[in-house]
Amino acid sequence: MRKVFVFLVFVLLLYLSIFLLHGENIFFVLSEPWQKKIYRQKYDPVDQYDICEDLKIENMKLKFYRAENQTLKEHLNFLTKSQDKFILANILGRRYESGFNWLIINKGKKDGIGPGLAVVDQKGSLVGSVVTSKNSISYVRPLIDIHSFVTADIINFNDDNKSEITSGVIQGEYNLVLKMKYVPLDQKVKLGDIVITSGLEEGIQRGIMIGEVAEINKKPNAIFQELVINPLVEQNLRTVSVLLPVN
Amino acid sequence: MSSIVKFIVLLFFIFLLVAFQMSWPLLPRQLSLVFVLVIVLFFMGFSSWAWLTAIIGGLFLDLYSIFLPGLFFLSLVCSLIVVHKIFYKFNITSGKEFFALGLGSALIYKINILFFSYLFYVLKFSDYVIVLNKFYWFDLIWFMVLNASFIFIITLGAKMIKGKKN
Repeated sequence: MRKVFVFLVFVLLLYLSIFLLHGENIFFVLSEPWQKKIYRQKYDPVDQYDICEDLKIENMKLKFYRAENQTLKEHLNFLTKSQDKFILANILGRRYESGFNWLIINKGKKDGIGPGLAVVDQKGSLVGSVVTSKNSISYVRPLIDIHSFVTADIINFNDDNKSEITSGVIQGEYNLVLKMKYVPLDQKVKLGDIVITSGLEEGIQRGIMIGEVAEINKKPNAIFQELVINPLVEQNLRTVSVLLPVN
Repeated sequence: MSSIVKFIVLLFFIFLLVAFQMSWPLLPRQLSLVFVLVIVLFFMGFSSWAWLTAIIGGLFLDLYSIFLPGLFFLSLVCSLIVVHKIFYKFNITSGKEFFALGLGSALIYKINILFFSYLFYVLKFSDYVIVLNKFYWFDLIWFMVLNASFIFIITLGAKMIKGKKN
């Protein structure tokens, strides 16, 4: 009985030291290189039966560096054009639990990242937003997650060349599709219209690309119409940018 | 091998499992490697190692979670308590029984996660609460089948190897 009590006290102290005294950072620093390697496994396939295996591996590595370089350049291009303050971060992993999805990135509080900030890919499309941040890592909720809500706009021009803004809320459904909800029935929307963030949330600025309208669902007696959005975000993301607040 | 060395090996193994579970994109997202390891160790008769894995594995899972720290630790430990009671109440020896208990333990684990997430939400410790919709039920069934199959295959395989050695 005494042994069990001592063990329970030890476990409690361990938890306290890790979560309250930020002992977790040691773990994150140790695990980061491992996770990066494992996460990138999928993208570095090597044919084991090739005779010139070494050359192939080298070639693959060069291709990998070239692709990474290209991605980073694209990130820089987009972000220097838009003159946003940003932080580049690597994705360390993804987790899923009972409908909750989250990405783990290798930048955290010490880099100025906080909850609510927008995360974009190399082309400037919205990936999601930061949910919580620890000292050296942050958790990002992807747009496709069922718990993600982002206010969005569609800007159109009518026959008189006047701009018309259609507003709604973007929500992921079953982690499979993006839907724009609460769009008034009288608003005119066309297939292929581009959806952008409206900037009503703290930390997510206006004008970040989300996707394009792929389907319009109108029901006769409904107050709102529902739009299915085709997200423009890149698949198989490895590097993302966190847009920092202007001030 | 001394127990300290065994403990360090187990610690490193759990760490690897958590890293794999989190970062390997090819792994099905419903598969919980730590949970599978806990139940397999328990079924194989390594009860004390199973408890240790539940505590350390829960801690590692909590480290990378958006939920309140302690959710995975408590869920794993409570699941193991229930499985422990069931295991010793009914004499489980056949493959079918192992599979059934595997399914049951997966269900108990999910119920515990749901319970603690609601408890933390009600007590206002956390903002995250699991939504019970169609997708959740589908996810639950898939989780149970996938994890129970893994537990069943690994336990049976390990028992066969043990039997051949004997």
